[in-house]
Amino acid sequence: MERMEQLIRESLQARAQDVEPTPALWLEVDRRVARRRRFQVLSWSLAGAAAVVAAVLAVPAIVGLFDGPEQLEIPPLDRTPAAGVVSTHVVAIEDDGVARLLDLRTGEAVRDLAELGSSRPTSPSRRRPPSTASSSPRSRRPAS
Amino acid sequence: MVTSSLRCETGGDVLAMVRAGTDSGSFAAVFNAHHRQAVRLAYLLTSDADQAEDIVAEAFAKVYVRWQRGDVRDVGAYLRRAVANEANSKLRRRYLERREASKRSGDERGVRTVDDAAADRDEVWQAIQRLPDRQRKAVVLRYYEDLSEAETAEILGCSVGTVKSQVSRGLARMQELLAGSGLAAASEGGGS
Repeated sequence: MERMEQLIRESLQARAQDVEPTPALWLEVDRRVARRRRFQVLSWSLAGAAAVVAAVLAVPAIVGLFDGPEQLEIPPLDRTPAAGVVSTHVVAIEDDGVARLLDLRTGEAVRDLAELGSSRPTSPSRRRPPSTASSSPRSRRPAS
Repeated sequence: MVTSSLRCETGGDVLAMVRAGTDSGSFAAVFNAHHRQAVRLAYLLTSDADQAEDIVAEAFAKVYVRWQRGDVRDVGAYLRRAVANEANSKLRRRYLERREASKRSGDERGVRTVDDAAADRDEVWQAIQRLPDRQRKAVVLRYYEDLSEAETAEILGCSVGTVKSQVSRGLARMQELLAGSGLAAASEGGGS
């Protein structure tokens, strides 16, 4: 077996001596190194672009998750109230916990609904019982 | 070594400038020191000079990346491993082609020299080419590169026991292949 090993060594050495690298090998190595570098730059660029796209898509979705419960949207109030709702003559007001009627034309408290006449326009104040207005201590003040 | 001393003496910025200017030059020196041996090893593993150069070019390109980062301590050993790995993948790819070629190997022996010793070497080489890939790699690394079984095992990525068995089987196969010539008988006589 030692002779066989010796033969193998000699054969391999002799065969290897016949092989000479071509001068172009270095250029080939250089070309491949450059190609690897380009590939590396390209792959990093693609990875970066993918990360940016992912961030652009993911951030709004993530932020949406933490917005909390949906806010109830309140529509703006109409600038003009519905006709007939607001009185132009008499309104009910609260004064020290006592409901009273106020004549808008005179700016004074109304002692009795009869003073306003029966043809007065309807207002929320008219639905109140007269006894409530008359029982107020301030309503007993004589009208000037 | 040079890099570390430069780092100590001049600092990072200058080192970066120096590296940028000398990297390729330094690697060219590494290439000059190792490429011939690498091509020969690749040739012995593949029996194809063109493919050997292709393997070595790819191996050097891989080594350069690691070498630039300072990861390679022993360029020769790293390069041997890279060449063996590249050869392995090439051989795997052209396995069927090789099997067909090995059938015709008797017809591809080329011009035989009149010198008997040369003829013997040629015959042995033909037998080596007909070894299975793993046995052939183990035999080449052991008897051409003169690596120990442990070093061979490291390069081939297997155990020392596997290397021993591969080499042993390779030698036995060589005996069989050379049985027709007087070489096998001579080797048996020499070994006893």
